[in-house]
Amino acid sequence: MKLSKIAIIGSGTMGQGIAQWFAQQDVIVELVDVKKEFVEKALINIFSSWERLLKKGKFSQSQIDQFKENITLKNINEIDPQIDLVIEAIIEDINVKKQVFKELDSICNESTIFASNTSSIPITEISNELPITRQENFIGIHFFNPAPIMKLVEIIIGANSSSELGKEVAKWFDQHNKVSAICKDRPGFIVNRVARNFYGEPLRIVGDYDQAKIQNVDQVLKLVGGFKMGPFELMDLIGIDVNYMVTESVYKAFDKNPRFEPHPLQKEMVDKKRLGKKSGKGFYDYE
Amino acid sequence: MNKKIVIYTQNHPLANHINLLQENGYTVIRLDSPKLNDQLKIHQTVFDLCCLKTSDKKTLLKALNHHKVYSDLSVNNVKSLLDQFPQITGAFSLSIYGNTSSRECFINEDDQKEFEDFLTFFQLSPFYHEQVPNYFILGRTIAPIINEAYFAIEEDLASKEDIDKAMKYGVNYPLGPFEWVNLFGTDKLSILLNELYSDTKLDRYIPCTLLS
Repeated sequence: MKLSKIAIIGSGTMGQGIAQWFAQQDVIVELVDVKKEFVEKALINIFSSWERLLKKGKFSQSQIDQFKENITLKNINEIDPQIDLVIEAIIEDINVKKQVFKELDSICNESTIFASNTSSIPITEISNELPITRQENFIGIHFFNPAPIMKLVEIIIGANSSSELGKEVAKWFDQHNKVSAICKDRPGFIVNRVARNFYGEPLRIVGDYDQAKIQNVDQVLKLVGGFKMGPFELMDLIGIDVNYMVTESVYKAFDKNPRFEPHPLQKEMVDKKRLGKKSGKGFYDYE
Repeated sequence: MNKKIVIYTQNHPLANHINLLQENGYTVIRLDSPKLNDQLKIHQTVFDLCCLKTSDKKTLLKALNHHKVYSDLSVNNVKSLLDQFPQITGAFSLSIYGNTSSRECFINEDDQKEFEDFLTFFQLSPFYHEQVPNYFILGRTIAPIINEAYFAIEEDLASKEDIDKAMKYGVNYPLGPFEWVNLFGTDKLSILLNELYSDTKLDRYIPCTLLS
C-alpha cells in the first residue's frame, strides 16, 4: 500500500496532531475545516511544534522546511479527488460525521479510503448510508493524543469493512514507526474498554474522597505496578469530566453492564467542578 | 528453638526458587507434605507462601495458631484475615505483581527487618502500607483489567497480541494484560475475583470463563 496524499477533516487537537505526523512521514496532507481561521490557527500550532522539535535537535531545518511544504490548507470542496485516504477528526456527533462523509463521497474517487478517528461512535453506523462499495473502503483509524508522539493506532474493522484493507493499512502504519492494533467495531474498541477498570477499581478502593488513600493507590500502582502515572494523577490530567463521560458512554453502550459502571465519586467531583489540572483542583490540588 | 519454616504451594510464583531459602537455613516444606505436622511442632516463625482461596487459607492459619506467621494474602481479604488471626504478624503480596522489584506488604514495624531479610533472597524490596488494606491494591486493580481483556477475547474483539500492544502503546501500560497474567498465572486472578465477588456480591467481579 502507498499513501502519497491524504486529507484530514477537522483541525482541532487531534486533526492537527494527525496532520503533523503524516507530514513528517513525507505524505502530502490537505488539512480541512469549516472556517479558514481554524486551519490557519492549526497550522501555526503545527509550525510551533516543529520549531520546538528543531531546537531539541529532533529534526533538521531542511526536514522542517520539507514538512511545511507537505501541508496545504483547503476547503472541503477543494480536496483533490485523487487522494489515497481521508481521515475525519471532527466533533463526536454522528449526524455531522455522516453529513461530512456524504459530501466526501461525492468528491473523492471510489478508491479513496475513508476513515474516522472517532473514539466512541460505531464506524458501521457512521458509514451505513454510504454506497456499499464505499462502506467496504471505510475503516476506523483511531489515534491517541498527542498523535505525533503516541505510538498506537487502533484500526477498526466495521461490519461492512474489508478486513484485508484493515490489514494493509495496519501494515502501512507498522512500517512508519507506529504500532497498529486491529479490532472489531465494538464499544470503546480496545483501549477505552479495557482501560476502564484502571480508573473504576481504584475509585472503589478509595470509596470517598480521601487524599491519603488516593496518594497511596497512585504510589502502589507506580512503584509496585510499574505504571508511569497513577490512576488519580491520570484522571486529573485527562480531565475528570472527560473520563466520566467516556465511562458513561461505554457503560451505556454495554447495556449498563456492571463491569463498566461509573463510580459516584466521579460524578461528585464533576458536580464540585474539581475537574483535574485544567480547573486547578481534582483529586490533587494544583493551585 | 526459633527456626524458620517456609510452607508453600506449587502454584506460588516463588515455588521454583524455593531452594534459595533452603540453602540459607530455612526449612522448606510443601503444604501437601505428610511431614508438615511434625515440622510445625518445632518451628516458631512461619513464612506462608500458599496461594489459596480463603476457606483453605483459614484452615492453614488455624493450624498455625501457636506460630508467628508472615502470610501471602495476595488473593484474599487482608483486613478480614488479620482481624480473625492475630498470629499473622505480617501480610504481603508476592503472588500478584508487576515488572518492578517492589512488593506490597503490611508488617508490624518490629518485624520488618526479619521480613526484609526474607525478601532479600529474591532481590525484592517492600512497599509498606501504613494502614491495613482490604485487599492488596495492585492485584485488586489489575484483576478486573485482565478479566476485561479475557472478555474481549471471548467476544473475538481482537487478538491477544493486539490487545497487549494497544494497552502498552495507547495508554503506556508497563505490560499488556496477557503478558501480565503470564507472569504469575490465571489461577491467582480467578481466585481473587471470586473472593471479591463472594465479599461484595457485585457482578462486576465475576471472572470470565476463559480465566477459569
